[in-house]
Amino acid sequence: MEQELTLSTLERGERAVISYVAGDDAVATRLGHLGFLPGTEIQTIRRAPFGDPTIYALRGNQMCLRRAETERIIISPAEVA
Amino acid sequence: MAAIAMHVETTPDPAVLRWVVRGEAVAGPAVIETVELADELPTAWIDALATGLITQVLVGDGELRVTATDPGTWRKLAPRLQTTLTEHLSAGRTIHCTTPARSDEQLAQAVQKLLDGPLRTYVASHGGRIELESVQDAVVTVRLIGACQGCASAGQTLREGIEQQLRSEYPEIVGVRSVEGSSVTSSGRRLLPFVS
Amino acid sequence: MSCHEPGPHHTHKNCSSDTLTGNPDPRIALIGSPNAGKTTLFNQLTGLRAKTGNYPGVTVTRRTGIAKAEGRELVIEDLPGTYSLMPVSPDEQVVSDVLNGKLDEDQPPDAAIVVMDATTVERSLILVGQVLDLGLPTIVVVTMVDELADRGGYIDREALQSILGVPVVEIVGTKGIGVDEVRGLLHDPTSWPRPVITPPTEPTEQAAWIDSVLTTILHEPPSGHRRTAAIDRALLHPVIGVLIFLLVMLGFFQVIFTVAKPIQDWIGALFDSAGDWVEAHVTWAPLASLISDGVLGGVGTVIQFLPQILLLFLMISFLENVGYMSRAALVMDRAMGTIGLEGRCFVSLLSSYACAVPGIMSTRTIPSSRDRIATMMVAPMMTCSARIPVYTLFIAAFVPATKVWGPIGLQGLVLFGLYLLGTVSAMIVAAILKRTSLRSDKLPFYMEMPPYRVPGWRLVLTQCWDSCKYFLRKAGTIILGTSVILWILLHIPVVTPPAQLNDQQAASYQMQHSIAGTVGRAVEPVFKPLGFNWEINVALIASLSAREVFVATLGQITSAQSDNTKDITTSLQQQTYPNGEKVYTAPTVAAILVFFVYALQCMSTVAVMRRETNSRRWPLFAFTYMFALAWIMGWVAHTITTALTT
Repeated sequence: MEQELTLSTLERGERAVISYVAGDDAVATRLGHLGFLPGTEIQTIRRAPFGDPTIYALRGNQMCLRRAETERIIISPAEVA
Repeated sequence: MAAIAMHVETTPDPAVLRWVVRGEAVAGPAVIETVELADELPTAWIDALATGLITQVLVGDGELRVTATDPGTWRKLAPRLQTTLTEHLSAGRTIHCTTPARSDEQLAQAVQKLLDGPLRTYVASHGGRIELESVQDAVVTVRLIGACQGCASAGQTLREGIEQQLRSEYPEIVGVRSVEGSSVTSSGRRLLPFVS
Repeated sequence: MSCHEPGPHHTHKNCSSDTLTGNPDPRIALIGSPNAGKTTLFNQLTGLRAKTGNYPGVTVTRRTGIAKAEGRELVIEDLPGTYSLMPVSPDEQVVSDVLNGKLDEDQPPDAAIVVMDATTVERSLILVGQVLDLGLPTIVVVTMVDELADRGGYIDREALQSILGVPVVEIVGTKGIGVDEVRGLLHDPTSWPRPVITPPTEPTEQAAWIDSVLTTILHEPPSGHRRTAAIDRALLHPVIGVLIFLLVMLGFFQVIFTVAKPIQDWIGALFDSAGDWVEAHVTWAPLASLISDGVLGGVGTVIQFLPQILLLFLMISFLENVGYMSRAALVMDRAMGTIGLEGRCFVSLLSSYACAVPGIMSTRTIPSSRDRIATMMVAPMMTCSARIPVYTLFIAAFVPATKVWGPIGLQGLVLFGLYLLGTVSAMIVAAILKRTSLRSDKLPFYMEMPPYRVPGWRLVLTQCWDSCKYFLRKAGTIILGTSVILWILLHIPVVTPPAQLNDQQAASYQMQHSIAGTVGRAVEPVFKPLGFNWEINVALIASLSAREVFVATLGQITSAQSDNTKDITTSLQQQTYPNGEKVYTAPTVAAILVFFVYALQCMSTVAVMRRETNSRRWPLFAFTYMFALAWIMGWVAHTITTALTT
C-alpha cells in the first residue's frame, strides 16, 4: 500500500491536488470552508521565516496554516497539464 | 472520485430552470415531454413528468432546460431534481438523448397544433391564414393565405416568427419555408444550437 | 413599491411581511469573510453612526448602525468577519445564533447582505452558499471589482445573479461606487428575489459546483498578484524578511521617541507657560497648584502624548490596511506559538506599546476567545506611552547620564531594560495562563494573506480617530476628574498647623492631615518594604486611575512643600525625611519604576477589558494579579538595589 501524502510534505513551489481532509470533525469542515475542498489545486508558496506556518495558494487566494492542520490534508500529485 | 461539475441557473422565464453540467455526461439535442421519451432521465425527473409537475425537458450538450407547470413549485421541486441528478451522474450514468427526433409525421402534428392554436388567432386578426403544406426531412413548409399573400415583409416576419417558435420547442426542425402561390422562400440558415 | 416585482425569481411568499407596514425597523445582517471590505461597506451605509457592544456572554463584538434608504431606517448588524457559518468555537456559535434568531429576545435578521471579494470569488462562493442556505432574503455585494479589473479579471454579474438567484451588486467601497445601488435595494428586503435552490454543501459537490460556476462567471481568471508575490519574496525571506521585520519594529519605536518629539516638546512648553501664567496670576497657592499641576499638568501630559499616539495609530492602521500586519503576524507566529498564542496576538501586543486600550480592542481579530483573553490579560504590561512621563522623570532625575558603551548611555539602558522587563513578563504570564486556565480550544490556526493594497485614506483615518478618541476622553474625564478630586482630598479637612511652622511646612502639615494624606499614611505599612513614603503612596493611589496622574500628583504635593523651585526634578531630588534622609534613594526609585512596569494603573484599560471580555471577573483578575506582581517585583527590585548599593 502506498502511503498517503499530506500537505505538510509539499515543498515550496510544488503543486498538488487535495484528495480530502482527514476526519469528520468541525476542524475538517472549517478547512473545507476555507477552500480546502476535494479536487482543489494547491501550491506551497513559502514557509514563514521561522519555518512555520506555511502559505498556500489555492482558489485564488493565499492562506496560511500551521503544520498540525496541514498534516490532516491528504493530497495527490497534480496531473501534468 | 470527483463529482461532476454542475450548477443551476435561473432564466428570464421563471418557469424554466437551466442545469449546466460540465463534461460529456449530458448531450442532446432532444425534447422530452412524455414519460416514454424520458428513459435517460433520473427517476425523480420521470416522476415529475408523469405527475405533470414539469412539462418539458430540453436536453442540449451540457445542459438541461426544465419547464415547470407552476413556477411557484420550483422551491420544492428544484432541490429534489438536483439531488437525483447528482446521484444519477455520480453513479456514472449519462443523459445522452441524441436520437429522440420525431418523425416528420409527428412534427407535422405538432406544427398543426401550433398553427391551430396561438398563431391562428394572431394571423386571423391581420386578415390572414397559414396552412401547413408539408414536413419533409424535418423541413417545414407552410402556405400563407389572405392578407399575408403578396406582402413580402409580412411573410418574412411570419415565417421567422413561426420558425423561432417551432424551433424553441422542436429543436430538431431544420428549417421553415413558406410558400404563397408559386413563389417559395426558404430559410436556408443552418440550424443554430438552440441555446446560446 | 410592489411585492409583485417582475422577474425570474419572483415567488409569492412574503408579500404580507410586517416589515413593509409594521413598525420595527428591518434588521439586516452584514456577513463576509475578513478582509472582504465589509467594514468599508458598513461605514458607507451607516455613515459611521455605529453602536458597539458585545454579545451576551462572550467577547464577540456587536456592531450595529443605522442606514437610511428612501426614508426608512434600517438596522445594519455588522457580524464578525468569518469564513464559515458553521461554528467551531463558542464565539462563532454566537454568530450562528444571531442568524438563526436564537440569541436572547432577538428575532433572526430580516435579511442578509453577504460581502464577497471579487479577487477571491472561488473561496467566497463557499460562504455565499452558506448564507443562501439560511433562507433569508439576501443580496450579494461583490467588492474589489476594480482590483480584479486591474489584474485582468472580470466577473459576469448577470450570470452570477442568475446562478445565485439573488440580486448581485458590484461596488468599489473605497470610492463609494455602487453603494447607492445597495442602498436602493435595502429599503425593502421582501422584494428581493429569492433563490429556488441553494448550492450544495457536501464538500465534493461543493467543489464541483464552484468549478462549474466559475467557468460561467469568471470570464478572465485574475492573474496572480505580481506585486504581492514580489514584495513577499523580500518581506518573508528567511533572512531579509526577518531583517525588514526588525527594521519595521525599530522604525515603529523610533517614531515613538523621535519623530513626535518636537511637537511634543512644543505642546509641553505651551502647557508649562500656561501653568506659569496661572501661578503668576492666581494668588491663592493651593488653587494655583490645582490648575497648574493638577489640571494643566495632568491633562497636559496626555495632550502632549497625542501627537505620538496619533502617529502610532496611523502607523498601525496603515500597516494593517496595507497588508503588512498579516506578514508580521506570520513571522511572529512560531515564536508566539511557543507561549501558546498565535501570530495575531503579537499585533495586538505591538499596539499595546502605544496604549493598551486599542491593543485590547484589536484582539477582536483573534479568532480564539482564549487566546484573546490571554492577550488582553498581558497587554497592559507592554510599556505604553502613559508610563513614559514617569520613566523619563525618574530616570532623568536619579540615573546618572554616564556612557556605558559607545553612544549607549546608562539612562537609555535603564529605559530599555524597563521595556524588556514588561515584554518578557507579559510573555511569561501569557504562557502560564495558556497552560492553565486558558488552554486552547479546538480552533485550527489559519490566516489569510491578503494582497498588498494601497489603503483607502478614509479607512485609515477613521480607525486612527477611533483610537485617539479614547485618549482624549481619558484626558477630559478620568485625568481631569482625578486631579480635581485629589486636590480636594489633599485640602480637606482644613487643619490649623502648629504656629512655629513656616509656610512650606504648614502646607506639608495640611496635606499630611488631609483625607488623602491620612490614607497615604494609613497604607504606609503596605508600601514600607518598597521604600515608599506617604506622598508616593498618595500619588500611587491617585495614579490607579491613570498613570499620568502620578507625575501630576507628585507635582502638586512637592510644589506646595518646597520653596520656590518650580522644577519637579529638582524638588524630587531634594525631598528629605524629617531626619534628613533622602526620600528618593536608589532602591526606592528602582521600586517605583518596577512597580510601574507591572501595575494596571489605568481605569480606561480596566473599562475596555470589562467591555471586551464582557465580564467583571477578567478585569478584576488582571488588576489584582498585576498589583500583586507590581508589589512583589517592586520589593525584589528594592531589595536587590539595596544589596547592590550598600
